[in-house]
Amino acid sequence: MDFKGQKLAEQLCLYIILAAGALAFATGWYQGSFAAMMKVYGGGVAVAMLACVPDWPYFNKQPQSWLPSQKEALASARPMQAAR
Amino acid sequence: MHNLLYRSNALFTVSTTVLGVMCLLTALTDLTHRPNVRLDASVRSVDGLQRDYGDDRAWLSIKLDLDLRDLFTWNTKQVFVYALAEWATPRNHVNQAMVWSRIVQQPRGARVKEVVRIEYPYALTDQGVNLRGREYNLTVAWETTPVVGALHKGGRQLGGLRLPDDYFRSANVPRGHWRG
Repeated sequence: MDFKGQKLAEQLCLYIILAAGALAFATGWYQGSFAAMMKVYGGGVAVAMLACVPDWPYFNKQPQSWLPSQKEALASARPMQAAR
Repeated sequence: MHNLLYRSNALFTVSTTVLGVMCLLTALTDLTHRPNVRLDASVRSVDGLQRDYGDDRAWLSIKLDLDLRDLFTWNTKQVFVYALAEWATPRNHVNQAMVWSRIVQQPRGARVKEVVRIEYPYALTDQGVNLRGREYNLTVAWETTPVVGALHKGGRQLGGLRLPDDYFRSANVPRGHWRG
């Protein structure tokens, strides 16, 4: 998962759960049933879990490009350390 | 959010926080609910007044006409409804005895219309021999147990009742035991 993907996962999780909470409260209030509220909310949390927890391909669209490794520089530094 | 465990932890934290807010809002909806209940009670008869091992004991029949259906909201788990007799004696300034109680878990059980004959051990028992001619109050009260939030209660008092001036008993009341 790349850095953009991590940010996306966090926001997706937050907004899905907030929406599920609002929808669940409205449903429970309208139907007069606490159990209905819990069922809708439980469903919303399950959706959020499916969407955000596994490392889906859409979290890996913008991989970070690192600098090339500097093997040569490290190799030349080692003998100096050993000589001290 | 860089690994599976971290994302699971974040999801758990957010979902429980939102759940807490939902429960708080649910508890707040109770504050706007003004229940319209009927709590009619009367003493139909006093069936006996006996002295039993140095204590006075009175047998009552009370007539209850209760309608508690309006107490049930989406946040009501159950309702506890009870009748309480209160009297004062020189020995105890406050005597309270619960003479009848019921746990109501469904709105269809919240309609109570019956005559309750209060029998031992619910019969009014005094600490001493002060019940003859004693004035007493009868209170019918309810308490709700919510799913989340605060407990609510209410009630109604029937005052100015008086027990008979001398010992007597009807056929269904056991004879009191006098010690010695």
